[in-house]
Amino acid sequence: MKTKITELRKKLKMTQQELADKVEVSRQTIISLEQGKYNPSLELAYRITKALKVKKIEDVFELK
Amino acid sequence: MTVSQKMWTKKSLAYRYLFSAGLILFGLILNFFNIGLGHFAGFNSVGSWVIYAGFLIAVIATISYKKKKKKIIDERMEKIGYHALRITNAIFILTLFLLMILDGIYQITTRYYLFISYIICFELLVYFITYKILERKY
Repeated sequence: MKTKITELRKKLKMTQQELADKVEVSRQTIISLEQGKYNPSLELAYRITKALKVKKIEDVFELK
Repeated sequence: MTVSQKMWTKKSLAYRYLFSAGLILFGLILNFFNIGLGHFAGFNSVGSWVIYAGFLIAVIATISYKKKKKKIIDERMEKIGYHALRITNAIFILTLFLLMILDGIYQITTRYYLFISYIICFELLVYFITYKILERKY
């Protein structure tokens, strides 16, 4: 899955650790998500979308 | 899968102390009734070794609780742990199968308790290595 997490995170001037704390995962998980190595569950995807202040999940995650 | 945070609580510490006390009591009973006398894992009886194990568990639990480190276990870690466990299980069964064949060819004369401890250490090592490899993949 392709993600725009890095881009959206940097727009909000948020570090990986800050995002990780907001969605209650480890920083390593955020790194894996940004690199497209790990596909999140629906719940986690929703949390990340909310944390990045985006309306739709599709604006953050995209099927390759 | 939900995100969870694992933290040492007084309740979990109490359970560990209870288990530790149980082991110490068991060891004392074994020694009292002279069961399992003779050299065992560097101790003069099975009971002494069980008492030592009980104390060790209590000490480790106390140190871990004092550190009070908050540990996050998120869904990615759970997924990696699940896969690592499956791989470890498969390797474990294969290893035991190979040991059966090896024993048929060249009889394994190691004492049973030592042999089992080697198997346990091997399984933990395999799990640790598998987890680390999968951590890079995911």
